[in-house]
Order: sequence, then C-alpha cells, then structure tokens
Amino acid sequence: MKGCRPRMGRVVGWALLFLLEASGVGAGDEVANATRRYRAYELSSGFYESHEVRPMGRGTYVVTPEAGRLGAPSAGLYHRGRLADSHRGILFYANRRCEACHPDNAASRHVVRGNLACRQCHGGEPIAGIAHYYSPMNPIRRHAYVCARCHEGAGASFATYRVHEPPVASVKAKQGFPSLYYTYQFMLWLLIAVLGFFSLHALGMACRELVSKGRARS
Amino acid sequence: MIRTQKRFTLLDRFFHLSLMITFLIQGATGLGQLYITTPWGLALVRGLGGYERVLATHYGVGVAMTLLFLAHVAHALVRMGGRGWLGADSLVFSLRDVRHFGQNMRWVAGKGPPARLGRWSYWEKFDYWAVFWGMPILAVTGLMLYHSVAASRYFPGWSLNIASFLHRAEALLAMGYIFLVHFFMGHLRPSAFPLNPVIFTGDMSTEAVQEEKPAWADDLKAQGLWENGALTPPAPLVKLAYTLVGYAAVATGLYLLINTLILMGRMGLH
Repeated sequence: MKGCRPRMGRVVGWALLFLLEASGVGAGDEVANATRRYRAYELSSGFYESHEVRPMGRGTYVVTPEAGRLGAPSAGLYHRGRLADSHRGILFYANRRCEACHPDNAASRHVVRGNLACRQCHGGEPIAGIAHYYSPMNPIRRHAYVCARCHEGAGASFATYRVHEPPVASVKAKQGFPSLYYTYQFMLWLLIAVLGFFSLHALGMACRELVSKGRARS
Repeated sequence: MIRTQKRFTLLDRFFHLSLMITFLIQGATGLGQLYITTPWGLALVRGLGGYERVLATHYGVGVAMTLLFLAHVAHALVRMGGRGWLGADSLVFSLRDVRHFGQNMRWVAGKGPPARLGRWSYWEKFDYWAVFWGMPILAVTGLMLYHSVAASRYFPGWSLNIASFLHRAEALLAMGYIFLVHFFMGHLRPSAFPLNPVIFTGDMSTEAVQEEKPAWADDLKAQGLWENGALTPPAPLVKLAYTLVGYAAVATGLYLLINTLILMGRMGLH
C-alpha cells in the first residue's frame, strides 16, 4: 500500500492538470475579434465593431411617414419613436418648448438635479426617435453615445437605467415598470404597518402609564 | 449610592452611541440631498458645507456605519457562541413576547395586570432587529448608487431605479421609526421621562429593574446575583452630559422629521 501512494498522487496530479487545461483557465480572455479583447471593451465603450451594432434580423427602422397615408403627414403616426425626425409634421414645432408636450419628462432627476437640458442627451434638430436605427439614443449604442459622455465607463446594462422614471405609484409604473411599482407598494405597506402598529402601541402604553401614575398619587 | 444591575456593557454602549451619531449625520446629509431642490434642503446642504462635501460625508459615514454594523454582528456571534441563542437574556423573539404583548394590550384596555417583562421587552427586541434589515438594504443600495457604473456590471441598470427608491423609502421608514417611536419610548413615556439613561450609563437601579423588568429581577434573584449589583455613586456631571446628548438627538431628529413631512406632502420622495 505504502509503495502505491506516490504513483496514485502522480496520477491524480496529471488528471487535475488535464482537467485544468481542458477547462480553459489558461486560454485567456474572451476575444471579440483579432485585435480587441471583449472584456476590456464592454465598459469603456465609445466605439463598436460594425458586427456589434448591426440590427439583428429586424431590418432597419427607417419609416417614411407619408407612405400610404392620406391627409396631414402626421396623421396616424403612433410610432414616432422610429422616425428619423420624430417631430416631423407637428404644427408650430419650432415655437414650442419640449416641456409643453413632455411635462413628465422634464421632471426627471437629470433635468431637475443634474441641470441638464433635453438637447444635451437627445441632440439637436432633427431629433431622431429613440428606436430609429441611426439615433444616438438607440439602445444598441445609447450607453456609448449618450450615457458615457458623463458616466465614464457606462455599459449597455447601465443604459437600461430609466432616466424618465414613471412616478412610483402611477398606473404607468404598474404597466411599464412593475418591479418599481411593487417595490413601492411593499415599502408603503411596510411603513404603514410598522409605524401604525408601534405608534398605537406607544400611545396606548403611555396613556395607561399616566392613568396608573395618577391613581398611585391619589 | 444606589445599587445597580449591569444592563449594557461598555462595548454595547459604544455601538449604540456610534450608531446614534452616524444615523443623525446620515439623516441630515441624506435629507439635504433629497430635498436640495427646495429652499430648506438647499440651506441645509449649504450649512453642512456644500453638495460635494455632503455627498462625500454621506458616503464616508455610511461606510463607517456598515463596518461598525459588521463588527457588531461579529461580536454578537462570538458572544452568542458562548452563551447560546435562546433563553431569558436573549434578544431572539420567543412565544413569551407574543404573550407579553397580549397581556400589555389587555392592561391598556384596563383588564388585568401589565406583562411581567424580562430583560428585553418585545419592543426593545424589535428596536434591535429593525437595524438588521435596514442596514443591509441601505448599505447595498447606497453602494450601488454611489458606484453606479460598477454596479451595472453585476445588476441590470434599471435596478438602480429600484435601488434609488428603496434607499429613500427605507431611510424614511428608519427615521420615522427612530424619531417617532424610539424617541417616544425612550424619552416621553411617563416611566422614561425625561430620559431613560440606561443605554448611556449601562447600569439600571435595582428599583427600576424590579418595577419595569420584574421577570429579570426574578431571574437575578434566582441566580443569587440580585445583591451582587454594583454600588454606583451619583454623577451629576455625567447625567448632565447624557441628558444634553439625548435631547440634542431628539431635537435634531424632530427638526429633520417635521421638515421632511412638510416637503413629502409637497413633492414626495423625488
């Protein structure tokens, strides 16, 4: 038995080395292409390879609003988010302010606290719809073209932060951001339960103590 | 000279005092940032040294608070390892607490005697455990918000919306509970008024133990420790010091809470 041990150890050692090699530990990082390592790239973006920003099988988003429509160019447009000029055809557009039509968006923290103007993120005229293929706001490049200008190193995940967050208690939040809405509901009921229960308990105890002290004195 | 029983060790009192100070700093700097778009919030932030400094303070004190909390948990685990988790001296909730609560409610309604409380009453246990859910939520969401880009590598970016809301809501719950309920039970309740000093001195007079914690008094008597309590001389200067500290905390808390409630009605938690 004693003579067997060193050989067993060697066998186990070789087996471990083989498994380690097979697991790819020594193979280096995931590589995006011949010259760029993907990981070094994912956070501090700004430039993406063409294959990374190609719309995958969804076609381009360019829409010509006039095509097949009667009347005013804007009639029947429910998907302005896909237009190259999302405000195309709106009367007296040049004389209006953004918050006249988008009051909720102007209440965003980026505006109220960060003191940002709409155009600092959404760009100059014509403002492309956020789903338009060439828009800097398109989710495929938003983190690099918009977020990372202030938030250095912003990645695609970071760009899913909702800048124009719906009010937590609203129906809009319930439909569009349910996790936020239910977090709010949970915290609201927790607050009501904890404060309600312990305030009533404290008041009850205090009143009862006053009564028994008064009785003890008389 | 009065005979006293040891209720809190020096380390317990250190943890309470440091939690009290860091909590108030976090409350003031946090509410200043939360309501910086209002005149009150702006004045508070300016008074505390400007936005950048308030943010840095909030972060630094938050990290210190978290480390102190972890140190307390480690210490409590070691102490529990020696003493066991359950029993009359334990802070873990038991069925007896439910019974005590029921008895106290009957007493409040004028039926029957008050509960014979042990060393830790059920509301004191809740005071203690409430920190255990508040701290992790506030620490994790606070770190996520401060290091938002790094956090978005491990969580989806939209979780920052939720972290931001949770941080505010949980802080509001904690402040509401401490400034309303905890301060009321420690200061304004007739048996505590003007201030319950035990958390600062660590010693509770045998009379107070007999009156407020009769079950603990029974335990001490059964163990033969009742007569072993230290003889503590009165220390008027120390009493003045902790009374001032206590009332400074109450005043700060109520000042923050009242302004928060006014602004909450106007603009919520934005």
